[in-house]
Amino acid sequence: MQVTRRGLLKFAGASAAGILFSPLPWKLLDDIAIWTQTGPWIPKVPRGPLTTAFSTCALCPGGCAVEARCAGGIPYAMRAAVRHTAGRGALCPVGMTGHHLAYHPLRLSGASVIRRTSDQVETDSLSTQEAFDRILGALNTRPLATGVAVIDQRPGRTLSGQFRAFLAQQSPGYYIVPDDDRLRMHEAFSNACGKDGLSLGFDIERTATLLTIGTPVFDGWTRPARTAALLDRRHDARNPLKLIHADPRRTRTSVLADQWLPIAPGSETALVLGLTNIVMRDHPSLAARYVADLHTSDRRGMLDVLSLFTPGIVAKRTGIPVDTLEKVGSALAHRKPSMVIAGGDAAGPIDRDTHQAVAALNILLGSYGTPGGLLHRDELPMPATKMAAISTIGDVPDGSISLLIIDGEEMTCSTCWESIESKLSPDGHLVVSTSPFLTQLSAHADIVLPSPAPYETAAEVVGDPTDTVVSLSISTPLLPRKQGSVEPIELLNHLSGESVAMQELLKQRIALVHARGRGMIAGYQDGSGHRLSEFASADEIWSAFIEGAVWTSPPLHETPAHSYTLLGHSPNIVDRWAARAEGEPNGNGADGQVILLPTASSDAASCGRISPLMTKIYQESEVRPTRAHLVLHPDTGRRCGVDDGDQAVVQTESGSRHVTIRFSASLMPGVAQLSIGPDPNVSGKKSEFAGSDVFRNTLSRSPMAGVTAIVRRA
Amino acid sequence: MRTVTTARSRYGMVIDLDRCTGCGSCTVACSVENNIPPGTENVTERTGITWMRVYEADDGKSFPDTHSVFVPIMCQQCGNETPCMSVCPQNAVEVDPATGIVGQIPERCLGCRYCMAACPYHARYFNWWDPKWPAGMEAAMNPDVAPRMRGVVEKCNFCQSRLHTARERAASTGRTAIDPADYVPACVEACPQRAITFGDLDDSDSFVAALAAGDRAFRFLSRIGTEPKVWYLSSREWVRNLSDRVVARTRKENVRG
Amino acid sequence: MDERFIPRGVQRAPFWRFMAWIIPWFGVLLWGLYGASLCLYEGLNQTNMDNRFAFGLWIYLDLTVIAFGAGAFFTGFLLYIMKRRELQPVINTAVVLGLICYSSAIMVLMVDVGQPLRAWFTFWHPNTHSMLTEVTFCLTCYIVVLIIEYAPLVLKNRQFRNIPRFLVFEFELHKLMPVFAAIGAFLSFFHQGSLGGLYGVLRGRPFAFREELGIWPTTFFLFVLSAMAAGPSFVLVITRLVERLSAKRLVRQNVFATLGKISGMLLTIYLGLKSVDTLVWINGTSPSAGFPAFEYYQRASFGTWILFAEIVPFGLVPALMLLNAKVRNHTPLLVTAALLVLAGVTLNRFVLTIQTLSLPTLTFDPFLTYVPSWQEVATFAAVIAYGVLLYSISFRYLPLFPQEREIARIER
Repeated sequence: MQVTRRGLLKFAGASAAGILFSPLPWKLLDDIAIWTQTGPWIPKVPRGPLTTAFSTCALCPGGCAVEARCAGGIPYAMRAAVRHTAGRGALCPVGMTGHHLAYHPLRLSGASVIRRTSDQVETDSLSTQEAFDRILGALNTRPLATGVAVIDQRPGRTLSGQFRAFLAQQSPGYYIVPDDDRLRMHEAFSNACGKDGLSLGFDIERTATLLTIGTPVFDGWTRPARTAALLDRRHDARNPLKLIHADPRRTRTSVLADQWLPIAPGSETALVLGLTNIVMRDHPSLAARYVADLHTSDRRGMLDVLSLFTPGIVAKRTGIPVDTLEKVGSALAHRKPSMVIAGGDAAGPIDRDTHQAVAALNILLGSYGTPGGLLHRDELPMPATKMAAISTIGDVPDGSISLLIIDGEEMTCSTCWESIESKLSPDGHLVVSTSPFLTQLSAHADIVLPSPAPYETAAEVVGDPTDTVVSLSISTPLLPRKQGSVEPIELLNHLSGESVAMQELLKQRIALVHARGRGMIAGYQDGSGHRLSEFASADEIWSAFIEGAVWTSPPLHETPAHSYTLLGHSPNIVDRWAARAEGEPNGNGADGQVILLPTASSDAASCGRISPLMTKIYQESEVRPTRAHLVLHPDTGRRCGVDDGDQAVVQTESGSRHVTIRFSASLMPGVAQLSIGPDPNVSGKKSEFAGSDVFRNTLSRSPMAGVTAIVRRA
Repeated sequence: MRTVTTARSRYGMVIDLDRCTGCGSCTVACSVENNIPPGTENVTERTGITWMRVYEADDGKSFPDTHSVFVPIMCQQCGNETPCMSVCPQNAVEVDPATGIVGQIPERCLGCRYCMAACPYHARYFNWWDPKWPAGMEAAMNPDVAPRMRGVVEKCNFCQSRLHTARERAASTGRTAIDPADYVPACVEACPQRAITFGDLDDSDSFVAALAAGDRAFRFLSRIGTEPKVWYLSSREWVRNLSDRVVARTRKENVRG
Repeated sequence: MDERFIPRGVQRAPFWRFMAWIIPWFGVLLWGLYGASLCLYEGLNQTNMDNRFAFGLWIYLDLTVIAFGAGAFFTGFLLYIMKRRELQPVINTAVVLGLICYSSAIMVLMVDVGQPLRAWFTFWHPNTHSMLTEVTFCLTCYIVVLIIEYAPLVLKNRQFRNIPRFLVFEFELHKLMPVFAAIGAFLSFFHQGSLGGLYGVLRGRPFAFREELGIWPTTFFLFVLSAMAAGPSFVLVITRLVERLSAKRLVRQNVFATLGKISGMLLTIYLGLKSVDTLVWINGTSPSAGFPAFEYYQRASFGTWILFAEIVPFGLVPALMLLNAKVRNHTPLLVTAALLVLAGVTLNRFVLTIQTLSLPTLTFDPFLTYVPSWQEVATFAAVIAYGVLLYSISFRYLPLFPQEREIARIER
């Protein structure tokens, strides 16, 4: 057969036409379509059998019950265990992403030596054994008269008891806890009733009038289920809650409170004393009942101070009209039960004198020891004996620490480095951190022995400290423990030459709880409650905990003390209170001067590490303030010469920060709000630790007093 | 597996603004559920992806008289002349007649963003970046939802993957209709304040239908006539007045979102 | 150097001067291509567009150049279908301008979409209800028509004319031109309209949403009319600009006057209809959607002046000027009027693209602004450079202006 050109062309043409009737070109088109829809760079979703597991969120002491949805045994989503009554099916956004922390970009892979340059933090790895030896060396060869200290950011755990037992054998050994509002409140009440070792919880579920002084009740101050209960109480038909929030800052709590008292920065003491004055003056019966009957030793002295805080003076100092003050005072006195809560903000504690005034007002209102007020908690027993005393960083003499261990800072960092620095021995010191991530404090350590991330180990959760109900549960491990992580107990074993397992210690504590016989255990799967007596041993309780359960114990019914000292035992408190009647004026924006107020969300991670996904509520929407946004009233901003959206610099005595200006007419004129809270966009970069910041040593001042700052256009 | 033919339903949502505390749990739960990647370094509130987003709105008054409210906004699932669906040149937006859910097919999306211009609720989000998770965090992705790629538009679809799961469960137990308890979007499940109610608006026995018919209920921009299936509740008049500009026009502008 | 490529009987600048003109534009083109390639490689995060400003500079550019490019279809329509012979001298330049405008619009669109590789999905899964589908279909077909219309012009190059086959082909194409002009007019009518419809159908944006006439929103017709008014003006302005730059007469004065008259007449019709449309929108459409129209004009930079400017100085004034024969015969005034027409259309497209998106819809939305990034500006500049280059090369090597040789001979 002869092949002609024409024939060839015909054949080609017919083939082309024919092929259109085959699936080939259409499949090809579809394949091209699919090819444009995928790419090797798009992450692949995990595969494996889908299961659920129960655990307890250990990110904050709140201890919410979680149900983890897992693929191939690895959790991919967390939700509240809905049937569980104690957790009441609520999780905060941080808790919802707790399983992400194991993958945090700043996670340390093993024992590390930290090197700080002026603007960078570098890590060099070393073996765990080497790290142990260096720490042991520092312990054994420490200079005379210098001591060992442990900063425990999460006191009350079994591990805390072990630290205290270890420190009791050192001379000197300092056990340091955060100098926070809870500690200060207990101090104030101890002063007032002459009783030590108090543990109080707030019975907000039954309060009718609640005055919060800067307490971020809607910003993660307590676990979300209690916040929901608080909201329910506002719609209660019989005795609805009235929430009055005093704070110079416009926060979510200010927005959601029934009444916001925008007090002038630093005037919280004056407000409390002014309200005390109104209550004493208008309701002598109340004063007589709670003060005269209870044999208060110092009513006269108190009245003398209060005479300085007349409604007129307080109105001038706080900027709250006399009329409003009178109404708030009246609500506190009449709408019972009433209670005043001060502080509890992640931005730092308020000062001791204010706490003393708040304690006095609470005693006067009869809220101490009565339902709807402050109740005694049935505190957990501690397995350790002979423990070092509890102190705060301020109690430690300067230059006296040569070995410092910082534990539990990964989620909270309520002790700032500036307050620690001066306590270290000038003749050499070693700072050890157990944080799984680089954080503000671990970045200042010499050695970091990273502890396991959340859900990588059976962690103890001691329960919401603001609650009247005490609880205990174990965070069931859901993730494989990362190679190179070190449990803090291993370090302690190495230093003390013992070999105790954390699990055994936890079981010892559970055995003590079991022996006391009080409280109930509720399972997460079905929400069923069981008496403690239904469990034969600590091991059984442990198993229940691992499957997802919590032990809770209601508040104790202790009779209130019969004698109070409203003025406390603090020397010169009368003079210091009296000085609060006059105050500094607000910054008025002239010359760019403002009062800079720190804000922070107090939930599971007040300023620690949070999931990278939290950009959704920080950068990608305006739900939470980032560290890069300075919020001002438009009038204040214009006086500072900045406009909405401008790039600006805010400068205080201690440092400066580049910010973007954001105007909000709902803010108090003369102030500016700046977040110190976590910022998923800043964290993850080592430059985060560079330089000094505008809020150096926030502990020394109430976050509601703020600092003077200058704002200028960048 | 046998497929379940569900009876026609019209899924909708009711959000109680008097209960919303603006905590952001819904936003985060939504992102976890739907494999929305963490924002990149220079992401902003204008370029991020938040299918469910909480805005803060106020009554326009100045300090100290300002009243504010938190408003979670997601795709309002317009039921009439769905603006995004009619404009999409390549049928990448579909309204499921069986559920009323406005679905986005990212695999077909060209990325022209015409639907974003069409949406009055700004509920559509564009992937300005390649989706990226920190190393290892892919293990924490939802196996039921495919991640999207750069250059396509995405939005809330009432957690449609959960509807599929619910249907599979119904089929495996031999039922023809799904159990309403099996199909709850992630935001509804996550809200600690129980502010969000979800269900079939056509089912007169459903809680959601009763709430939507109540005196406190309103919808945003209802006058443009797109019949959204997301209702909001508030006892406060000024909050209800945020629904339309005509009623809220006396207020000054002073909001963030 | 390149004399053998230059059409016979016309004077062109020396080659070095041509290069000196070309090279800077070529530089701009390269810069723009770099910006565009960044957008394609890194993604659209290189632009300053965002979820609210989903459209930006590029869509604005597309709408504007396509309106300007309307000169091609409209001139063709008038010449081949309406037999307005006096437009013969500018038909070639109109075709080149049309090709430049449309091809650049398509190129920019390909950078603008997030997944350019999926552009063909519109043909694969078309949504027949979408204005954008109509635009895509018509645009794709019309660019083919424009290439076919441009082809005989290329074949008229001196060197191509030496090839007999090309000569025959060109002759055959010429005979078909009325057919292509008709197809072009038909396609253009629809996509110019659909581009307007693009915004008119946005129920969710009451600033842009308009009542329907038949199945189309009123912006459909307003866009067709305004594009038909802008097209001749654009041909006029560019031709005059080329005359100034090349320092020679290319067409006779009466051609300019005709273009101006057509532009003026259409602009007048457009203005009348736009005024009616605006009144209906202010008093009916917008308020019934819950949006009091005066609110749109309360924003800092977008006051009522913008509406006034669109209708009076950039509408009524040039319309009256162009309807006046004296003005039409006075070149500087004629060009000024044409420029005002173009400014009006540019402003109209800006209002629909940028102002629509910047205005809030939800009551708690902020008013937003947008400034394009350098990558967007560079891509924009590349389009202009591409246009200048293609036009300059066409002008130098192709007989764009049939009257040029004649005028040159007379002047000599």
